[in-house]
Amino acid sequence: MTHQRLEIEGLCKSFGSTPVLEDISLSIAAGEVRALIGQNGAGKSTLVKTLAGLYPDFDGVVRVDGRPVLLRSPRSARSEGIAVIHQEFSLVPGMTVAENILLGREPGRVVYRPSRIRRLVAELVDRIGISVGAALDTLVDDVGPAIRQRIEIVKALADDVSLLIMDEPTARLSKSERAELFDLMAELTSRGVAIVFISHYLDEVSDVTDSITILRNGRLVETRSTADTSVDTMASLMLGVSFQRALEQEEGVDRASDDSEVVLRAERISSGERLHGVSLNLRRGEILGLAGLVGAGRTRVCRALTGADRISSGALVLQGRPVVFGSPRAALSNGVALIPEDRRWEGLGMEATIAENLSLMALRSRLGRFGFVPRRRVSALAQGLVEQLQISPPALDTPVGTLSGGNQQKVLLGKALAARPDVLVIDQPTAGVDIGTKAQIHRVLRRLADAGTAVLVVSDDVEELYALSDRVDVMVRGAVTWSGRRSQLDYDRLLELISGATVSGAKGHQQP
Amino acid sequence: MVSTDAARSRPGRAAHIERLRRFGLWIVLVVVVVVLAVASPTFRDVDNLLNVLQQNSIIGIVACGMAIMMISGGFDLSVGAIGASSSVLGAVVAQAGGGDAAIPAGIGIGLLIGAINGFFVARVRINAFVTTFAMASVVAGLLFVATTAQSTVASSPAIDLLGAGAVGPIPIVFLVFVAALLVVWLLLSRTKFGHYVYSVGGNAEASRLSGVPVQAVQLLAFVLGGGFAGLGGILLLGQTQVGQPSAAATWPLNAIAICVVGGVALTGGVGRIADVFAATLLLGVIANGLNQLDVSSYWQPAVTGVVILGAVILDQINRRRRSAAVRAVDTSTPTLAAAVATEESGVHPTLR
Repeated sequence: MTHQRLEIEGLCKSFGSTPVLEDISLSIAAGEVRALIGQNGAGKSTLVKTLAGLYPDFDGVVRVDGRPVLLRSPRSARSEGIAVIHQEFSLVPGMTVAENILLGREPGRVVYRPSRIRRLVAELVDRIGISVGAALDTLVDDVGPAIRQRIEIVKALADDVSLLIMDEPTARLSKSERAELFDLMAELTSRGVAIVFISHYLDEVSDVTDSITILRNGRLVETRSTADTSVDTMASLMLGVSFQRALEQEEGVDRASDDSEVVLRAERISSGERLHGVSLNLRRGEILGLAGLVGAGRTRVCRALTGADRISSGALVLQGRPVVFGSPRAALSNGVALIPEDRRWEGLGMEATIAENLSLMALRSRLGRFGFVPRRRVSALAQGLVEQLQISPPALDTPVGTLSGGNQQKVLLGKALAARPDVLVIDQPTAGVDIGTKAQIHRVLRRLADAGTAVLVVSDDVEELYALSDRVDVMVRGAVTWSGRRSQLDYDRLLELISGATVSGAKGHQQP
Repeated sequence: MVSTDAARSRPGRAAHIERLRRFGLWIVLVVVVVVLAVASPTFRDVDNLLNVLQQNSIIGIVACGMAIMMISGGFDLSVGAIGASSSVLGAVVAQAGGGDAAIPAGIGIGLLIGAINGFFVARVRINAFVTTFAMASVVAGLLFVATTAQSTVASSPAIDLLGAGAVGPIPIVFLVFVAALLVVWLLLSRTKFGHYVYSVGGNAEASRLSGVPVQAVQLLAFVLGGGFAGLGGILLLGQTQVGQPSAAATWPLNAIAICVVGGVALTGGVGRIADVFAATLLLGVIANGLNQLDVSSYWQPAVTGVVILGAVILDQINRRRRSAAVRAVDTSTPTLAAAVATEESGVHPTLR
């Protein structure tokens, strides 16, 4: 039997009374690359953080190289031979490459000598035979993401490592940088290091891993060999198979029409590092679903369309005339509203009441009079929305922070409805919302479209997206790769497109 | 991409900006001193210049501690209350016949209050503003209760010597200040603790993930900050011969002002102790110069405020220029990333 680097038995972890990981058992052999896949909220990052020593109060047994370990702190996890490369780089700005590599493991008890750090890191880099790709005394602020990634890896290897966990290591890398990373991983496994590889890019998973563990809703679905698993199988194991029935209800209705007026058109817009020449059309009375994996740039598109992010190139055309939205306020006064993904930080004032939140977007356009806000009109508006959306409790002066997630989401939706937008962009309309509320939100969005609003929906819930959309645009790594009517797609095909797997016999048209 | 010529000049510019940042404050100090010396005969008088050193050393010592706390990502609004407690306790100990034991008593109370601050900030994770603001109030209140708001007139020979004595022409309190600067400089640049102060202030989460004992570092930063404020209180007693519960009320904001002018970032992670020295002297010289020029003392806060704003604005401009220069360098030097970028433009996906 091969040597098992990591063994996990019956691992459970809950936050308060909410279980997030239930009875996870798995083992990973020396030299094995294990993929860990699952949707958002499946429990991947909780598992990673537990192994990194950030959640010491887990139940169950974890063994490294046969030894049971406690994982009480990041330091103790490291000393047990578990190294983690977190999704957000854990580098300290203002410090050099060398200082970052040895951070937390400087030699000596009291005295710190920069020259010695530099020499030790140079030796370390020689010994492990991996080049950092930048001078050791450069500030980390001055190097790009690929180099930062390498710094993280060298840093992880500074101690003897049995298990290396890489959380979305390729998200910020270009194609050839990714190839270099994969070479590096092969080099590590040949030395007997076990690697846990987390990625949303299923084609990558298929290329570089030996085996796959699938998580769904905090439970381990299955561990299987990569060789026997197609990308489609991975996707359906990740997402579950319950979607089929729900979808058929909407099947056959095709509201998309090429005669519909294009209300807002994006022409080859780019923004930041993540968006490269995206074109799309939002049509009156239609719901456009923007599909893609996390990191594909969907939220970027939402923000760029609504003035929340600046567009670096390309143009927006609103009802035939070119527009530039310098701020969400400018977009809103042109009838373009955004419901952001993160309701807690970007969407709602948690301390403010239901009425205050609901009226915020409408204050300027509809309610305000010379800067004064008549309270009676605010409560009339809020009362109407509370009834329409069945927000509970229906008391207008309830602080939004005390509502359930579903009701918060309804307030967020109501707030945008109050502004009566021509274009509504909604990012994750039903994240963390129960099924009943979800159906209700879907009905509201459909009614809104029927009333003539152009709606753009982004959702990680592919089932939802498929059921809701009249048209679908698929994004992979910052560009639209497929665009067409929903009726041209079946569900499996959509999954295939989203995962960026090889497109064969496209039914829609591919964008250049 | 920038043209090759522009790109070639950028690294030079970055280095130039770096030099300006390093010596800029000292250059400003020299210019201000020369201008004042020309403008005012009383300012350039040697006794007056020594007086500037005498008057600004205590706040400089407090600023040394403040710098450690600020670089670690915190700050302390209770240094004034600590200073008052220290000088009152010192006076009480001296009056009770404790003599020079007043010195460790004063510094000790500073370390203790600093430790309490540090505990709440690092361990209980209460924001530094709230913690130290409340602590200042609590300590000042207790001090007034304990003394019934009465001053204690007492001191010891050693305290008098430290606060008001001189070696030749040089005030001893200034020598203590220089010693404090040296200690903090050694601490920040030559010890693991100092290295961690920068790393915790720069990115606490990354430091924690890397195994840096973040809480211990923050705690110790506040203990040291309290200790320096306690030392300041004893020196104040030496200068005034009286332990006054209402003393030192202006210390917190003045010490923070010195650090800010000295380029210590309020967000943490950045700061050089040599610049804290320069900033102490600069603010002291300006205050004294205005005095010597017979400018109404009512003007002084306004001028100090303008200096602080000016320093912060310059720092911000420098930082922006620097990062612009860095970006230009990044795209023009043939690093791994750039080599990759030419092969395939950025992170473009390939359409298949």
